[in-house]
Amino acid sequence: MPEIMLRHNERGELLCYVPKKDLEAVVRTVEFDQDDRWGGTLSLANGEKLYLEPLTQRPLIPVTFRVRKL
Amino acid sequence: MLTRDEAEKLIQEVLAAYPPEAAEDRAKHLAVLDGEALEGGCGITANRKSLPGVMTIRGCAYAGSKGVVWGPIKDMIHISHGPVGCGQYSRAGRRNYYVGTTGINAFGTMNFTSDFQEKDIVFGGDKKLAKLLEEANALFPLNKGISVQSECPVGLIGDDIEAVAKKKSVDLNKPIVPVRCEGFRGVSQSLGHHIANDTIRDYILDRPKADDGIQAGPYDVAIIGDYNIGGDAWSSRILLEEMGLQVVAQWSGDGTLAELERTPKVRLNLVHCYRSMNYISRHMETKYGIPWLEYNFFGPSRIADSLRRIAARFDDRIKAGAEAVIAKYQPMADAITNRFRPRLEGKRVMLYVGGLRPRHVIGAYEDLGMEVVGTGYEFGHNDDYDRTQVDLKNTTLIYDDASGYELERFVERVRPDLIGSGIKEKYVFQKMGIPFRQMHSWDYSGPYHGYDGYAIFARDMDMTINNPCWKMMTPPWRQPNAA
Repeated sequence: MPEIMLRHNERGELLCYVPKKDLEAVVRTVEFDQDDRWGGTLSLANGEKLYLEPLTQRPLIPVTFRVRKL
Repeated sequence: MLTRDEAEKLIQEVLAAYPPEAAEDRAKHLAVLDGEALEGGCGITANRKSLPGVMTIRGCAYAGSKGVVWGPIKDMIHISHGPVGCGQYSRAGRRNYYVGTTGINAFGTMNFTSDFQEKDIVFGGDKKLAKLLEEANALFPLNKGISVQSECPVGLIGDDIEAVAKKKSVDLNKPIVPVRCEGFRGVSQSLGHHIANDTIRDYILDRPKADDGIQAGPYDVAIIGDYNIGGDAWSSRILLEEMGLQVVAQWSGDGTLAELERTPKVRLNLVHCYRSMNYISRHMETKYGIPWLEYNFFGPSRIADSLRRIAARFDDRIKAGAEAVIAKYQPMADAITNRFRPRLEGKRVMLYVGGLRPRHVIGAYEDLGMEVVGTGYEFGHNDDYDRTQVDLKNTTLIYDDASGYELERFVERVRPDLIGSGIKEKYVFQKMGIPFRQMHSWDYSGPYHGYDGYAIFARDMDMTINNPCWKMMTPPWRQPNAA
């Protein structure tokens, strides 16, 4: 269950940071990207996939989550 | 300038000297880039353990914590807990300038150590640490807090420095920060930065304390990750203040504990050294909602660009302020460029430094008409390389954690006009007849940040490259009786 921190980079893309691994990668796609349902599989630019239990609302970014590695 | 093929051939030649396994590993750390940002990063492997037997010029986690993050906080005592050497050799070497009276209210250049002996290793050093904390506090009563920077043996014998710090913190009524930055943690100083940032978070920012009642102003900002080497933070700070911002904290060059504590109230964190301070900036962003921005104050074009990007986060008053600052200093910067550019135009530079400089100084060299033909990080991570490739325009050699052998072979072939690296490389390359500037501590010169720094930067580069001494020496391979 790695911890991730999400923030927007200067181009407005969603940027994922994994503190434990010092990994910084743009989130290419979010499986559920609606106002009332957000999360699911996050695909990172480096090819990794992370699973975030879908939330019932869009999170306020910056934010820290625990996710599962797929 | 090497072509792409030549550069790739050069890498193959260098790798040929290694045994197959080592060559396979080192190949992942060397690359040729030609400026076009590649999708998904430049593919270089970084932040991996150095190979045994292959020389590296990296430092350790202790160096990252004591030398970079905690050490420059001037009004705290930083104890090197363990044998005497680590503290002594990291004492004042980075030239983090500060204002204050050393030994009275500033302790930056002093060496405090518990000086472990055999019996401390056998029986543990906790009692000694407790006594040391009391003594240091009694001798220097104006200190605002104490950090305990643990050296390797402390981690090996398992001393509970956290417990001692907790108890003494109550006794002395001061923050005492135990930092688990034993040198063996991580592959370089990089993890030390992370560990030290985490202790700032846990012991300083999250410390319950009475509210100082200070209201945050609308233009309060903090300088994060500028260590005031040769006065860098000062030459940066005046630009920010001239454009209308109020710098309430400097992390950590010439910084104080009160500044650290006040930082969660600023409007924007301005990060200079991304590698060493992004961790705490991220924490403040998630916990206190403070945005952060990486800026670059090397060379007039990057300064102007950074000032505008910073101003864009504020209102029209600050935007106008930024334009006024740029307009005021541009003639001065142009005069410097006009004076030194003819003397430096077309000169080629190879860099091998840490932190932010392998990419940040590229703009300053380009302002002077010079080209960076090779660059690399001692302890950078993949995201550092991703940001570097954006700044590189020409075919450029990239090397991560290069060994002495690799650097020497690259330099021998590329024959740059200037090398910028650390003290350990300096004399090797000077004896090869190549001008050299220390780009860690500015060779006892500085500052290099800001417009004031640009004047010094340009003068230093000219002074080094065009020094008549290079014409007077015959490098070993040109000597008639060379073996």
